[in-house]
Amino acid sequence: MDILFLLVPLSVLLALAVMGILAWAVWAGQFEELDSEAARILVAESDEPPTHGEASSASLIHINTPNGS
Amino acid sequence: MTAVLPIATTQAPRRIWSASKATLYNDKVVRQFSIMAVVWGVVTMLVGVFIAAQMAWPELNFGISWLSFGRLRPLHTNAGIFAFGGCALFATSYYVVQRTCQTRIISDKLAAFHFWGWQAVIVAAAISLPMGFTRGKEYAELEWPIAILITVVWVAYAIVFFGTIGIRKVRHIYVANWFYGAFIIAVAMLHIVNAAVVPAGWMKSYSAYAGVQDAMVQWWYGHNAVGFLLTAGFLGIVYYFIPKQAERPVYSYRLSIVHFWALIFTYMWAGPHHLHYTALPDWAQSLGVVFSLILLAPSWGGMINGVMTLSGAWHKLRDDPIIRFMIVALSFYGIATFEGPMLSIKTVNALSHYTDWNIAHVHGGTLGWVGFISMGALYYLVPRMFGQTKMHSVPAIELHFWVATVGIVLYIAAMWIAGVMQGLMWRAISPDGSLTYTFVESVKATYPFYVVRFLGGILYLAGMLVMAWNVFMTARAGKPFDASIPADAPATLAHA
Repeated sequence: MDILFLLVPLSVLLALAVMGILAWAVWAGQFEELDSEAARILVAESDEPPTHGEASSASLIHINTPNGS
Repeated sequence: MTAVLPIATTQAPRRIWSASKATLYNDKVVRQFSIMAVVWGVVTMLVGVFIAAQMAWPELNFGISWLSFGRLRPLHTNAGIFAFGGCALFATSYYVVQRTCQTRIISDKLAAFHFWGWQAVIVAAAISLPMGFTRGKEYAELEWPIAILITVVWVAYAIVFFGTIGIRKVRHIYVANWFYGAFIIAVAMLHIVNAAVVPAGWMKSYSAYAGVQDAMVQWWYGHNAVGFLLTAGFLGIVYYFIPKQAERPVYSYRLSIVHFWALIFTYMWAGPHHLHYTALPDWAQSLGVVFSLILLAPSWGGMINGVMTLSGAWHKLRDDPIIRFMIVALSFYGIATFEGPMLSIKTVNALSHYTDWNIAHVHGGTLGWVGFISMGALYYLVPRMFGQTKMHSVPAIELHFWVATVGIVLYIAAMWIAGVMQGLMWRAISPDGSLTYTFVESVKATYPFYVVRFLGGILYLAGMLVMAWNVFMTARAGKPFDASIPADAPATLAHA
């Protein structure tokens, strides 16, 4: 099973690379302010055709909270 | 219990680059891939239905080698995974990466090369596979010249995708892009390792690996192709298009990030479960089981996260057929990711392996998960790509949903029953120690289930034809529309 001497190190290297990318993402602040990042995609209106322009229903976003009002 | 969160609290994105000259998104490549996803979807399902009929009525190959099951089956799988699934992923990833990065893709020319190069790969597959040219590796049948073209086209795709993330105007990289990015990198690596061959002529080659080594590479490739193309890529669709269609943010954005990293770290070693009770060392088989079982946790976390995005707006499930496509897709994702770990357990595998249970499992994943999430996303995309607010016919979407759902249920139920029956018949032993049934008796017993599976396939194909008509009518009523990039995103946010 010589192939495992290729596949196992390759997978370990990949895992290390993934860990490196995760570390970069954490240090670069990618995972700060997550709630607003989740909502941001709903605000970009420009992907709607012009006929949609006025229907800015996304200006208010309803989200569930455990102790909501 | 609902709280209203004014968008004004949203943090304005930090501008990294000054405004680019282009003011429009490149929606042309999205439009092209969207249309071709529908076209190839019809083709792969048509071929699938035809070979399903051959399973019930073998004389349907008419004695023509080009129409034989062994040649059309790889055409069906390649068209399903790489043509239909691939085009759906390319269309959505180009759409998502531009919207979430608020910038046009870095190179229109490379994207065009990606589109035409990929279509060339598909056409080459559609010609070479029926002619009998194959490397004999499941989901990696295409001979080496085509495999090289795939590599070149894929590099172009990677440059455009990651280059666009590099010039993004929004500091945060939205979670869907992480899933698409992992899909692009993993497929590149898997393809290069598994496509290592020694050419012996223009359309003939021998694998660089031999025997069980080759089997291990093949299933390391095969299962990770399922994990990164058919799972990670389509989860990118889930995390962008479900929130957009539901008009609500992901239930837990934190969980979506955990879902991503957990999946990436654990997927790589599930492959050996395809080689239970073979010459593969026992410890490697057991490793495959352990990793497969671990995968249940992130998979179900992600599924629940996606479904709960509708929390507080469950009525959309009743009113909106597009959201229904997407949520039912997640249900099938949940079924497939429960069934998968279960089938990887060696005692269960002893019953299920080589039976039609695997066919049920795969089609739960492809028809239910990959198919439905792609169709949902395409129904979202197509009107927008042609300057329309909705599809030509919403009742037709409704019809497509129900016809396809009934088709899947018929298909999967038939193959589940057939698979368990075959497994039990093959292992049945008479008191004198001989096998109770011959193999052909199990084939004969499967006949009615093959007919039901064929009917299920017909329904699923019929749904796809309704979609193709609906897409055509929508495109005809509108004209190609490229959306503009928000001129000053921070100001847009501030006023809201």
